[in-house]
Parts: sequence; structure tokens; C-alpha cells
Amino acid sequence: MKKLIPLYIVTFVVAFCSLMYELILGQTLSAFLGNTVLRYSVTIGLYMMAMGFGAMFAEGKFTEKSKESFMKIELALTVFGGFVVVIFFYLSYWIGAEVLFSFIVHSLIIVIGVLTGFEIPLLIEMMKDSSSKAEVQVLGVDYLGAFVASLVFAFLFYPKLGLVSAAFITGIFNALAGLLVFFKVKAKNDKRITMRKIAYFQGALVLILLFFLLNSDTINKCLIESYLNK
Amino acid sequence: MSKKLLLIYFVTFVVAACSILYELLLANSISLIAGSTVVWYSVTIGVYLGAMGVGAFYKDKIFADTELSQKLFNIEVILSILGGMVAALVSLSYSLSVYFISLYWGQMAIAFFFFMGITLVFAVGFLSGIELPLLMEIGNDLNKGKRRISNRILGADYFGSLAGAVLFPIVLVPNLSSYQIGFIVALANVVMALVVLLSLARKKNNTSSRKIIGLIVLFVLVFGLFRSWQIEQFFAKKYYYYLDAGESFGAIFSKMKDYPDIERIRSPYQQIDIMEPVEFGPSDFLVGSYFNYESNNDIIDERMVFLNGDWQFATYVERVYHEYFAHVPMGVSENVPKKVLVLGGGDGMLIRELLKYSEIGEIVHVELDGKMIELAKQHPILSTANKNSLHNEKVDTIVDDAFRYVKRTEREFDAIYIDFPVPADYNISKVYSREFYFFVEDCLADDGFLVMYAPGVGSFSDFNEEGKVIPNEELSPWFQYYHTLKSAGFQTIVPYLSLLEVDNPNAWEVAGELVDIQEAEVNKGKPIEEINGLTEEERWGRIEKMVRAHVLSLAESFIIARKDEVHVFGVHEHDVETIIGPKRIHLAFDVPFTKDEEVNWRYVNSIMKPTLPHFSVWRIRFPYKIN
Repeated sequence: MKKLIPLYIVTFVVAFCSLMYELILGQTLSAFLGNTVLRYSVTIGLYMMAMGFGAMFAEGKFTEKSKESFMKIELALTVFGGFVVVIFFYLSYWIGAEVLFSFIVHSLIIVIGVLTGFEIPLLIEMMKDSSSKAEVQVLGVDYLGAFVASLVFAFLFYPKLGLVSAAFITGIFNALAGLLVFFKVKAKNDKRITMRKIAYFQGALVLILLFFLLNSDTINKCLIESYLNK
Repeated sequence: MSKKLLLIYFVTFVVAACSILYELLLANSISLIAGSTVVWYSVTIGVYLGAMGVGAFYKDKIFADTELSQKLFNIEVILSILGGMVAALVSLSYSLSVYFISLYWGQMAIAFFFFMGITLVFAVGFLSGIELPLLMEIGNDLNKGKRRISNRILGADYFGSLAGAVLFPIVLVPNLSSYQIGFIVALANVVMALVVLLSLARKKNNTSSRKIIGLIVLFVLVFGLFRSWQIEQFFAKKYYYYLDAGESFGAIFSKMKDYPDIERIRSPYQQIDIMEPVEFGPSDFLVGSYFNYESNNDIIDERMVFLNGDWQFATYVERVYHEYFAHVPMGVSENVPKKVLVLGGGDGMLIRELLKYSEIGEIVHVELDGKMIELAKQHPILSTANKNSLHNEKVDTIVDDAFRYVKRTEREFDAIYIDFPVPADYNISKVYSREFYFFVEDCLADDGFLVMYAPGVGSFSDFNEEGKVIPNEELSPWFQYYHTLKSAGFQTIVPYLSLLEVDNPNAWEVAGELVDIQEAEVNKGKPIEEINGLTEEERWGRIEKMVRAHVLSLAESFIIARKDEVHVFGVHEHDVETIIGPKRIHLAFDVPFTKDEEVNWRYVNSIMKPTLPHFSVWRIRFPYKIN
């Protein structure tokens, strides 16, 4: 049981992060393009579909190197998710055409959904050795994370922090979850050297995101200025 | 591929679409009552995902001894019954919580509403969580010996979710009422349940009782679908007339046949309700005394208009609002503008007032909701109230998102009028944001003015001892509006309220009569010796109190903003003299507000970080202002 606690924490955090990214994406879309109900509905639909694809694709594909793959996915999620709002602003800055902009943003929703879908089979794989009920437990904790994310987004992150800082913090959580796996979870077939490299990257990302977070007011202002003076 | 497998994929697709549709319907119904679309959509998603997890966890413990396909049937039938009723259950919970509020339960009553809503979201999610693993098991059993097909079922499930999520905002919401959506989705769901039972259940089991149950549910749903207009009216009348009907427990379930029907028009953006008020308070009688109606044509049928259940205007008092809105900024400007941009205000009332200036050569009118324009042009009562203003050749109406319009337009205007609903929701908050005002400023001439409806700035104001109105800046959103406009580059930001004069002799006369009637009402049936008549002083006191309450109840707030710095606002002589006198213009500005020199970023409303709505999301809507 004790061995599993880090994995539970990781499961909770990554589920929290994924839904948080999606809510941030849905809200940013509705802020830029209007019609909240449409944006939210489509975001949920695409997210669920992408997660399904991710889960289908992941099963049997890279479950052999579960720990290494998981760390890679967390790295990708940190990059895509943590900087999602920044990416958004630059997209709307460079791409005037709404159609193209909205295409790219929806693709981003799918990318984050697919990456999230990879997570669950990998977590189940990592837990299997120590627990027979791995599947159900991972799912349970995963859903709990998503539930908490929805409340935190609506009542805390969006109104109190704003979208930019919310994405940075979520990115930091995500990176830390990846690092927790590196330090606390035992792996079988994975390459130590590759994982160490990923961990270095991940650590660097935490520092960058932390720096961004501390300067989020300035970044926020710069982004909005560039958006306004287009 | 066998036919039965295809059928399983199809059933999975449909039931997944049904589940997400129930959830979206719940999110929609809850946010129609609670406001805060963003909050309740995200909470619904979260609870839905969580509940599916719990459902998957308990899937073996429910109907444990039943054969798989019959177990699936049970789940689907329960889901259909529940799903068909979700919209009605949310409305009923609302009626009950209003009743609880009338019992002074306060916060507990609101908590009751949210508890009911979230319980429903959880219940639907829980049952949906059982459904998917069951379908996978059934599919794998059918495909015995060959490879597992759970992934394909998962795929069908996810595609179903996507289809439901896209169908909901694009096709269902703009065309159907929540009750109709619920019944239609539930019908699809119960048909799938019957398909499962007929094609997959093993022959040796007796399924006839289940078939009968399935058919009964089917018929009830079809019946409900045909009666959905009545159901909608039932709950709409509860919403608008319940307080009037005496706040009793019995009234929650009565049909309220004596009350007129609500006219409800649906658009992709909102639900427009036009209702006929049945009872009038002192304020409604008093309002007429302030106007010199030129002819009988000025007095029209009385209607109230609500957007998504939020009060917009009443045809018999909107004059105060729209006259102050249109004419006060004209009265304090050097010149009457030539080119005017009106954002929002789809009802055409503000444009009716603007058309009184012959100097205005062109009015560009941008309104999001084409349905609202259609109503303002064609609805017999509304088009009389706005004097067919939207048909005027000076008016160029564009159906577009105001944010998008001001961002893209290259044109410049001498005056911009902004008439949007209360920013009670993050999606409306967007057109009160720094980003929005920035683009507005961009298409405003250097010596032009912007005037906006600034909802809530005048709320909580009160008369002080000297009879002067003092605003409550801490509770009102004044600082939010002020710092947001300032951060967008406006130099002059001046608020004003639509304050009518307290010392109006006509009003005192009407109020005097009302006080006498109230007094007579109190004393009705009492023997003469027990009646203590009001002293002259008491009577005048009550009259003044009534007139003041009336003045405050009509005090809506506006903000004039300019790019240049203007220190003195003087009254200028335009046509305005005849419409709204200098006395009222002075009254409008005679309310002290704090104006800081520096922008305080804590208050600035941005699309990235909203500070509006400034009140708690923990609330439910009421059709009228409750003072």
C-alpha cells in the first residue's frame, strides 16, 4: 500500500492537470471567439473522444516501457499545457484568420486529450505489480482529480489567478508529477539514461514555469498589449 | 463482422450521446437558473467524470444476479426515466427553493437547489459509468474466442460523446425547449434499451415483463413530448408568477390557469421571455406621474421582457431608462454627434430616443441576436413601444458579435452607445472587459463620447439626511468599471444615475392617494373608535418615503467616457431641453463617486482574468429585483 501512495498522488495530479488544461482551452476559446455554451460542449466532446483514442492507442504499444513513456508524456503535456495560453496569444497574433486559429486550437484540445488518454493505461501498468485492483483504483483517483479540477477552475483559478497564471501553475504540477514518478516509482525495462535526461528537461521546465509564474502579471500585460495593438 | 457486433457499436454510440446530452442539458438548466454558465458547465463536467468513475467501480454490485443484457436494459430504462425528467426536476427544485426562501431559509434554500442539481448530474454520471463496462463485457462475450473488442466499443462511446456534445449547442438548444430535448433524448435511449432486450437477451429467459416496462416508458415519453409546451408553460409561470400567487406550498404544484401564458422565443444565445405583469405596486402607478404623455399613443400595453430569466425592461417604465441613457450625454456635449454606433440594445428603444435628433445622420446598430431584432421589428407590442425605430432608414442594423465588430471595423464614430445586459456571467463580462473598451476606443472620434449602461453602480445607493443620493461603492461594481475603462485609455470617466426628482408635485399627489388607500385597507372592518387616523406629519412622511423608494427603484446607472480630459460638464442647449430638462441632468450627476488617479489593476476586468461579475456565483435568479 505504502508503495502505491506516490502513484495515487501522480494519478490525481495528472488527471487534475488534464481537465484543467481543457477548461482553460475551452474558456480561452470562448473568450476569443464567443458563444460559451458551444465552446464548452465541443471542448468536452473532443476531449473525451481524444482520450478514448489515446487509451486505445496506448494499450500494448508502449506499456512495456511504462515509466519511461509516462515521463515522456508528462514532459509533452507540460510543454503543451503549461504554455497553452501563451501559444494561444501568439497564434491569434500571427494568424488573423479565425478559421485557421480555431482549427489549431481544436487540434491542441485533441493533442492534450490524446496525451491524457495515454496516461491511464500506463499508470495501470505501473500499479499492476503491487495491486490487483489497479484498474479500478486508477480510474477512481483519476476521476476524483478531474472533479477537483473543475471546482478549482471555476471558483479559484479563473476568477482569482486568471488564465495565464492558471496554465503556468498547472504546468508546474504536471512537471512535478513526472518527477515524482522518476524518483519514487521502480521500473523494470526502462533505460535509466533516457529517463535521467527527461528528468533534467522536466526540472528545467519547472524552473522556467516558476519564473514565468512569478512574472505572470508582466507576461499577462505584454500578451494583452500585443493582442490589442495588432 | 457479425450483425450483432455492429448493433453493439451502434447502441454504444447512441447511449453515449444520450448520456452526455443529459449532462449538457443539466448544465444548461442549472445555469439558466443560477447564471454563471462557465462555472456550472465546468462543475457539471467534473462531477460527470467523477460519477462515471464511481459507477464503473460499483458496476458489479448493482443488479448483480441479472444477465448482462437485461442488466443493461435496467440501467438504460432508469437512465431514460431520469434523463427525460432532468429539466423538469431542475425547475421543480427551483420552485421548492423559492418556497424555502419565502420561509426565510436563505442560504440553505440556495444550497438545496445546487444540491439537487449536482445530485442529478451525479446520478446520470453514475448510471453512465455502469453502461460502458457492461457494453464491453457483452461485446467480448459475443465475440468469444476472437480478439477483444473493448477498444472498439470504447471508440464508439467516445464518438457518441462527441456527436452529443456537438449536436447540443448547434441543433438542440436553439430549436427546442429543455423539456423537449430531455424527452427526445430519453426516447432514443429507451429505444436502445428495447433493441438490446430484443436482440441480445437469451431466449430462455423470460423478458416479457421488461418489454412491457420498456413500452410503458416509451409511451410516457411520447406523451410527455406532446405535452412539453404545457410543461414549459407550467414552470415558466412558476418562475414569473409564483411570488404573486402567494408563496404557498400548494402553489408550487398548481397550474396557475388564471395567469396569462408566457411568450418564449429561443435563439442560439438566449431565451427571450415576454410576460404580462398581473399586479402593480405603488412604483408602477407612480411612474406615469412623471411623464407628460402627449397622446394616448404614448401609453401602450404593459409587457416585461426577460433574457434568460433576467429582467430587461418593462414597457411602462423603460422611458426613464432610455431617456436618461440617450439624452443626458447629449445634454452635456458641445455638439450632437453625426455618426452614432449602438452596441446591443436589440429592443430598439434606445434608437427610438436617438432618432429624435435630426442632426444624427447615421446609426450603425450591432446586435448579437438576430431573433431579438426580428422581435423588435415585428412583435406588435414591442414595435409599437419602439415606434418602429429599427425600420428607420438612418438605422443600419448588423447582426454580429459586438466584440468582433469593434475589433475589426475601420470606421470612426462620434458617439458610441453601449447597451448590454448585466454582466452576471463570464461570457457577458467579456463585453465589459479592458480588451473590449480598447477596441471601442479605437473606433471613437477624438472628441466623441462613449456612454454605457453600467449595471449595478447605482444599486445599494440611498438618500442621506440632506436628501442627497449617496452611492455604496464598496458593494457596487463602480471600481471595476472605472479602472477597466481607465486602463483602456479613457481620460474622462463620469457616472450618472437616472434619478427622478423627489419633489415632483404630481408624484406627491399620486403617492398621497396611494397612502390613503393603504390606510383605508388597514382599517377596513375596524369599528370607528379604534381607527387612529394619520397625523398630517405622518402622512407626509409616508408619502416622501414612498416617492424616494420609487426614485431609487428606477435609478439605473450609466457611465460617460471620453478620450480627452473634460473637467466641467455643462448643460448645452439641444433638443434635449424639451425631452429631459436641465434639472434632471443636474440630478443625474449629483452623486459623489470616488475617482482614483492611478489604475488599480486589482479591479481591471480582463478576458484573461475577469473581475465581473463581482458577486458570488452562489446564487439563484429571481425574475424581479428583490429590495
